[in-house]
Amino acid sequence: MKKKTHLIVLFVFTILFTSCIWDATDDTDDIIDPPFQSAYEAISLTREAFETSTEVIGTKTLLETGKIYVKDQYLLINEPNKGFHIYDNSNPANPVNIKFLKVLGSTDITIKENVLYINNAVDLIALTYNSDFSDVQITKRIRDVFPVMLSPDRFYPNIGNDEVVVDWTLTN
Amino acid sequence: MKKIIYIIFVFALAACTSDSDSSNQLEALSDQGQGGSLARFTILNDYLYTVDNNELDVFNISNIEQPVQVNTVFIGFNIETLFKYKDYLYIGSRSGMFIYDTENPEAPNQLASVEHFTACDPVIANDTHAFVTLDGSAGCGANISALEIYDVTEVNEPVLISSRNLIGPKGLGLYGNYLFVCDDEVKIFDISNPEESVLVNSINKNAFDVIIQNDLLILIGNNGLYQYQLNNSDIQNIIELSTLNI
Repeated sequence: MKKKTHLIVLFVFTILFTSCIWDATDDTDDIIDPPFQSAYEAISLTREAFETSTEVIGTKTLLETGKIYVKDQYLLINEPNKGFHIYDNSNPANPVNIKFLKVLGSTDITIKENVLYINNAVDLIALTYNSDFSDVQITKRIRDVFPVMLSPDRFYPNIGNDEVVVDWTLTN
Repeated sequence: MKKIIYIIFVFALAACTSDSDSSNQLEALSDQGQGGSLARFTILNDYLYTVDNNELDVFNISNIEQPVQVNTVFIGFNIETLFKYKDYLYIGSRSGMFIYDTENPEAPNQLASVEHFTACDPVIANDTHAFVTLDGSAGCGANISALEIYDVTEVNEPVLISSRNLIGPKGLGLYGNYLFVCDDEVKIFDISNPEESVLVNSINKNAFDVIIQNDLLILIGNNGLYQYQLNNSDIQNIIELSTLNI
């Protein structure tokens, strides 16, 4: 019953506001149409290139901060959609940057024992790591479990069937 | 005779269950890491739970290197965060907070949902209370921002017991009787009496999430990562350990 009342109120308001918009267009001609195209361009890779893109590289400058995660002496800082900056945080007064784990389209991580679970764009991947993160191996990839990444202004990408969106960049 | 065998059998089984329970808990403590309050992934025993915009995905990780997707549960719209406490999953969305039990770990069951005004909202919890920040400042919906505290003693009937206005709160973390909230600065509330939270200290840093591990406080903000040494017997005594600027 309560829900029904809400719906009716919502409906009435919708009608009322619709009439406002018509009024406005009658009075002024310079109403800006909402954009039908994103201000961003999708960065995508073919499935094959995407699945071989995860790797450990030396270290990399941290350009943008994302979520953080701690496990044992390690502190991981996500750089949204790029990967994880791995620090040895044995001494929190002096965290030492040891590696960068490149995982495209990543934002989240959780760790159990020596296995990392990460969102790799639309896929979930499980990876094992050794003590200095020099050897990281994907042990499992579950494809297409997460939704396709929308642009920051919430548009769907216009890409081929065999492509995976890993990020978006502003178009000029 | 049959009866005796039966009784012995039951006892033997009971011994098994209590054994595996306690070892599981120990495992859970030492084998997993810790994320912040904005996390969307969490592990509970042999299961990995993840949330995306609308759904909760369940993966069996009894073979930790080989996760298997076992279920997808529709939760609602604009899901943002996932937090576990004991056997419960607390899910934050732009329109409210959901609590699920994992009695059947492959098919979490909704115990409660609480609606609030539209805002970005991580949620964390302890034995008795759930803490939700509502950020209306960042194009997340309403222009109101608040910290809401729910009594979850009856977990299927959360009761809102306190709401206080904030500037633009984001991540949050518990440290005993203290709650750290990333607002315009990091605010520290004494929540010994959750109905009357008291602002007791603050750290002048811009952060969006927090991890508190024992006495170590880690803050992450758009401009860097900051670590502090806390002291539970003196919340005024916060020692800065390091800063990573970007």
